[in-house]
Amino acid sequence: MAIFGSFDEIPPAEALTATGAANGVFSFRRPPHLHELFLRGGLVVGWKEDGQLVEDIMQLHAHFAELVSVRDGTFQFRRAPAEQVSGPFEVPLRHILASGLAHQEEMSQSELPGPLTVFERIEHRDAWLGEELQVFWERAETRLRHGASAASLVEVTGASVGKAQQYLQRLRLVGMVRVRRLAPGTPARPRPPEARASWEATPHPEGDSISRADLTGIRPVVPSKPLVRRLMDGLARWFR
Amino acid sequence: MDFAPLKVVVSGPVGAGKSTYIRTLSTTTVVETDEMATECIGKDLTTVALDFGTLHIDGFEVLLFGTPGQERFDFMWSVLCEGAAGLLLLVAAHRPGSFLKARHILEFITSQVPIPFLLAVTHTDQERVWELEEIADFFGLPVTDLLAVDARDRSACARMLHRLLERCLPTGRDEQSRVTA
Repeated sequence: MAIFGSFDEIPPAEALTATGAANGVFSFRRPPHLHELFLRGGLVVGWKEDGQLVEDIMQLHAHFAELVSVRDGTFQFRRAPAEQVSGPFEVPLRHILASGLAHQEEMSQSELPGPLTVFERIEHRDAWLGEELQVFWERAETRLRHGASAASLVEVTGASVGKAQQYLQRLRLVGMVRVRRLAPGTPARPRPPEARASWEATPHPEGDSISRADLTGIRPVVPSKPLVRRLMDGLARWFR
Repeated sequence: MDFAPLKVVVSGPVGAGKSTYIRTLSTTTVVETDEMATECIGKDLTTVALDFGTLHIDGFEVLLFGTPGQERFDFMWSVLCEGAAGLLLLVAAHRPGSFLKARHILEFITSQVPIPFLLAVTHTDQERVWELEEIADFFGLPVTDLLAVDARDRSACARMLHRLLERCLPTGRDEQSRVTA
């Protein structure tokens, strides 16, 4: 099992949340330094810098605040039995990430979900969000119960589309929201007119390709059962 | 009974194996729009418009549409997803740098359109790869939505399409709405 990559391709907060609740050591190298985070069941239990154990909780928070903004260096996560992962702390990873993200400068467009991607709140989740994100959350929460995109939240939150994308990404990273997928058989989502107007009124940098994708008119086809069955029977002969 | 061809979209970041998948499965000559890559993407040729292949099975047709992987061609999604019955999103297990882009594609499409999909994980034979469970966690999907596939292996590609077709089987409600319509 291996989770690896570079922070310029997978930002630290994404890489860390990918470890889930697994036990192990998340190490990252930013020459000349080697850092090791000890993770156990979704808790941060220790941090070593060049082999030196961090023992002060405030220092741990400071390291995280710095880490979430890092965009260079490589990382890997090595799983280990819980008894081999020890340290002086027991801080929930999502809480300390939230604390770090509150101090982060804006994320680049390539790290953000599309302006029309729809999110929903995850019930019974709570996290310290910091003042700015908390205000956005309080204004957006009702809409997020039924699914809302960054573009559709402009009106109720007063944030620009770009800012709303940033906030939704942070809420996702701390486990407060997730993508709301449409189940097959349900109607396609009509594009809200205010979303289009808001998006078009917002300058977006070259490279945000999602803005160019116009999904108006897309309708999936529900094929007939006899056709699918016969195709499946035919295909099955190829691999049996 | 007369059936219209079934359309399946094969999408994913550059280098995931979309063109290879379509070439492997197609029973007719594949229409390709490859050009020399003008930037470093790990291969010489890359798809600039779309790949198109046709699969004939027992007198029925499956149309395979491959989207270009490079970001500046993303406007093609809308054109290619029109009328599609299913979506295969290919990601290369040894290239985690492409996961974020692939997740954007999948989340955008599936939050707008109720299209059955599968995440096809390629290049799992490489020395250093993310495991299926880890990729599933990154994408926020159950591991049952993922399947490892060697895009050069015809039986593996057929198995992948078979799994997608299982998800395309209409529910009772769909059948009812078809009758009503």
